[in-house]
Amino acid sequence: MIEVIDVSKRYGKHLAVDRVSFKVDKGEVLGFLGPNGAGKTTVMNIIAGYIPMTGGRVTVDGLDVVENGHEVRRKIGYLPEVPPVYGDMTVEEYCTFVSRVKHVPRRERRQHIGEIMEKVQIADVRRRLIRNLSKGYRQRVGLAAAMIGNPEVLILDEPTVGLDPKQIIEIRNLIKELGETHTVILSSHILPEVSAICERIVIINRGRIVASDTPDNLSQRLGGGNDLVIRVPGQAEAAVRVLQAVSDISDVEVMGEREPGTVDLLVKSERDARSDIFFAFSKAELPLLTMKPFDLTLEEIFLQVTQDPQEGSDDVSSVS
Amino acid sequence: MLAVYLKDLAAYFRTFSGYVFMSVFLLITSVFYITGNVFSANADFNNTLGNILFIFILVVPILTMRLMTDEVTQKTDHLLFTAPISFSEIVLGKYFAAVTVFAVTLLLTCLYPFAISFFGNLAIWEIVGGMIGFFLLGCVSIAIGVMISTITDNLVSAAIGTFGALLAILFIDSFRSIYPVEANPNAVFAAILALGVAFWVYRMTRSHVLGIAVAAVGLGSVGLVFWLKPELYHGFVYHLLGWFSVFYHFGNFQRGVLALSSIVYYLSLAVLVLFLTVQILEKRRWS
Repeated sequence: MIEVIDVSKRYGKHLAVDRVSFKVDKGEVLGFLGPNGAGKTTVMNIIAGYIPMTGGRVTVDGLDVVENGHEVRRKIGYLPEVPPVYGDMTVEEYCTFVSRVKHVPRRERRQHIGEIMEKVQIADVRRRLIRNLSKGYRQRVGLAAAMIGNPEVLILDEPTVGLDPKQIIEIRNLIKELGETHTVILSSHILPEVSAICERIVIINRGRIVASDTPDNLSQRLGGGNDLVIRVPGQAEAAVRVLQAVSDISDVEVMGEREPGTVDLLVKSERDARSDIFFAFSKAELPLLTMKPFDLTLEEIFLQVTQDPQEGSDDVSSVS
Repeated sequence: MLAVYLKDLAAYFRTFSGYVFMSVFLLITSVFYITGNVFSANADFNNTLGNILFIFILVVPILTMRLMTDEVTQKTDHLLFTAPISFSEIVLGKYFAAVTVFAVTLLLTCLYPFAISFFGNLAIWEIVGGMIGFFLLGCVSIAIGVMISTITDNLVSAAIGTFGALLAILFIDSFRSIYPVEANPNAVFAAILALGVAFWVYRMTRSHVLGIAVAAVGLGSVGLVFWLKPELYHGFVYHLLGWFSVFYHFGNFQRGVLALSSIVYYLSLAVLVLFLTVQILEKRRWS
């Protein structure tokens, strides 16, 4: 549905986006993830046709964004970082204006707007000035504007910023629901959000794509397999000595003190060594306070792949 | 276009700017009407119109400064520029909204000559001609305001820019009439113009070679013409600036003459300025 091919964007000497390529299939929900300033908004602005690209090509449903701009804009509903609302209009006036701009036939307008306002739950504030609404409501008014005209593609730039936890869950569920009938690109710098909604994640950092996969595959690929994290009281030396006696342990890394008076260790092994480790420690009369599999959470993956290349470990670079 | 037109027209009266424009316009016209027509018992309303041409310098910025800059500062340009409407629809919608507010205000001032008509003989058709000219002059000024609001990105520079541009246009007339008509100073002016064009080309392309080439070709041809046929430069500045002397063309209307050439001049100037505005937006989108 959407194809981004070698897209670059240069602002003067600064290369904001560097040959980014990815594809979004019809009906897919793609998460676009990266720290602030990574180039997420720039890429979304380019797809939506708001700013030109310096190099490369973007097609939506086979149509070039530059050459067939008008047709492409009909297919896209865009919610930018700051919702593009007019503070001096009421919610209803604004939605009517957007429906006119998007050529919704006059007869369907009322019903269409009504449905969308119900869906994003802004019907109760329809007669209020947007200026006086809270950030959460404004965000939803912006989302309503993106949905008006039933575009096939929705591009949502950080749709849950500034919302309270309850609203975040509501918006997430709404986006999930929209994902069943629309192609959605969603950007965020919050991982759980993306992993909860998206079928596929593209991680971008400093204008480049550093990883692209499903949330499960990403954590699996970077996760440790049989690696364990254990927590024991006292100093690390005693624990390391105990672990050295257990067979098949390839490496022990001291992770430091996470809880006063204890130490955390990362134990890398070729097989499932949990019972051996348990008995070894009980024999040494050293209590095991915690033992858990070393699963990288998406946060950790995110931090790893967005680190500087020099700092990143080897298994991370294989993902990019 | 209708959507943008209705939105911006309503915006004039949702915010204070429409009311400010109307009150300032009506205040200035009424002061000149009372002193020029009522106190002096003079029925020549066109003369009053001719005396208040400066009004556009003051009131057009009020009308046009917000049009584009507000979209940028509120980030609503994201919505307009990614919606399935063209730039010309956006620009024309905004332009006609401003023109509508101006036209309604101008219609209110028709009460002034109407009041005169009770006390003396009124040259109605002359005044109609004057009003049409005044309206067209306003249309051109508003087009210039819309363009400057598009170029600048904040309210203050849009207002000051429009004020300055209209002021400069008002002064063009006096400048061109005091500039010598002899060939030499006019050739110098042409040379400066050629250098200006070359600098503009350099700024747009960032290529030294192209800039120098344009400067060389420009200065060369100015020099060549001066060498071959210096009399061509006679009155060059006068005729050239005559094209931009918007206020000068009001003279015809003030005399009550509906000259087709003046009407076409005003209309084509407004269309040209709006066309340039659309091109500025297009350039921003695709380069």
